[in-house]
Amino acid sequence: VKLLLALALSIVSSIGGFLEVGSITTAAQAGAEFRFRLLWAVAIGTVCVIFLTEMAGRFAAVSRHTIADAVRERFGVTAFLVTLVAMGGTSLLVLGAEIGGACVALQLATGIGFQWWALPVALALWLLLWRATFGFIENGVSLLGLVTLVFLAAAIMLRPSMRDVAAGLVPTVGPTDVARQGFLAVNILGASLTPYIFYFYSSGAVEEAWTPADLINNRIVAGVGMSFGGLLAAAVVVVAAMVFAPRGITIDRLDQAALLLTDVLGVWGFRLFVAALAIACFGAALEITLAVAYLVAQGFGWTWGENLRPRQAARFSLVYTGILMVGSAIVALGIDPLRLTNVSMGLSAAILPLAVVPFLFLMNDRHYMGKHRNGWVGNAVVTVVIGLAFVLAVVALPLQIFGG
Amino acid sequence: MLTDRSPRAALAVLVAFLAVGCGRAPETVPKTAVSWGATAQRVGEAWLAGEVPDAYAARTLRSARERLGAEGHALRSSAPDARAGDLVDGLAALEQAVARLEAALGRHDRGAVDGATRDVAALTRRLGPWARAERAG
Repeated sequence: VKLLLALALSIVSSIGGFLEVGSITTAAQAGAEFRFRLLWAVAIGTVCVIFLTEMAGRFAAVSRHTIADAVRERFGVTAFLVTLVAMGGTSLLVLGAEIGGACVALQLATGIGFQWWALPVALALWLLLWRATFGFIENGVSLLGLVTLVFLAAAIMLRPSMRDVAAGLVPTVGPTDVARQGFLAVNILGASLTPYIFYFYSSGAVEEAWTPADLINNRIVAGVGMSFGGLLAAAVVVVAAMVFAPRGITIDRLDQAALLLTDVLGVWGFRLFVAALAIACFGAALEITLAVAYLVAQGFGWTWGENLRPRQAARFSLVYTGILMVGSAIVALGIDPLRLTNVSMGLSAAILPLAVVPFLFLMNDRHYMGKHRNGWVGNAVVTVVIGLAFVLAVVALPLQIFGG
Repeated sequence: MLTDRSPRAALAVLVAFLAVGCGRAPETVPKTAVSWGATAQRVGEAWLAGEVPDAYAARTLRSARERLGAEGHALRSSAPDARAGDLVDGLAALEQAVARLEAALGRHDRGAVDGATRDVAALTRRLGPWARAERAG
């Protein structure tokens, strides 16, 4: 019973922690502008993230290594530094977007400009990282994130045509605004496959001392939790398609997205949207901050761990403190969080090959994985994802120019 | 492999991303205007129904008015022909209606908010053909 409860908690956590500012805004933009037509991008992103997350967890459970450890060990310091610079830089922008999202939620609730919330939000994040354990951060905040289920409830209440929804799952682009559709599709995939997720997940598995005995749980959590999370992102597309598209409202500012649920739920729609945005962004900001701190500390061989006291992992704690200062400074400068989100999701898509290519080698390395190496299905999926990642890397910048 | 050009190339890509993220194409003016007009209308309706707080409604209407003003300015400076003139006039009328809605909301005058919301809705509808032409084009 205890094991089942732990499994249920992990699944619930991965559902509650799935949505963040990138997935909410890109899905809302896609639904508002193209109705159900870009649902396929959400579906593809979800399938890819299920497989890659499962592999990141399996790798950590079997090898007792995090992905960052193994990249440095297997590919050398130069490869690690390239990964660190690309992922660290992009993750800082994503962190700025998440802190910005939490600040916009506070602006919606209070009327006080979002920039003024940058420092209080960063301080709250820092205090939680300083004091809390990994389990509290992963499960506590993600459980609160279950408020994002309101998007699914709203989508069901709006009774969308299942035929239109199914048609949206077939990958198509066009007939008009092709560049804009491509831009949003890339950003949806960038939001689904943000590289920090895999580093955070594998580090968490090491923090929680997973062993090969956890492999089934890992598979269930990745499969069920991420599938349901993807369903929530699809629900945002559906609600935006049915509420905004008929009125011609496109999302240029996060303020506009706050009207997403008021048609269905009235005043509670506004309140629940604010709560969902705040909690989702706050939780994601915690994960990104930790992921970058993990990446740096693991790469340089420092003592690391959210379950350690700060003085036991001083350099690790210093890194997350510095990261939070940079992330909050981006928001305090007054950069529009929605624009920052779109740019950072595009960049996430552009650097995806760096995050995904190592999987193909590491998951087939007998030294790390023994008998738990990838089968042909896993390798086929990683190969497809790598192909997709290279396409995204090539088209991300042109689509930012012509469709952004 | 890292070369001494890599940091500069990475910086160039980042600058390009940020630069394009800040740009706005004049040909998207009608769609953006319809979007902000419809947003203002929905905010007026939601405020009347007690669905959104005063501070949110006031801030979003200010954003709508400012954005419509910016779009009108962008259009005037990029396409000074007769057809664009009609669109510029339509945008100016919509901006004024949103300003009236914002002022009425500031006074908590429900009757004036209702009237201004209807004006915004009518003026937004008038911009519809331009937005549809833009999509088709």
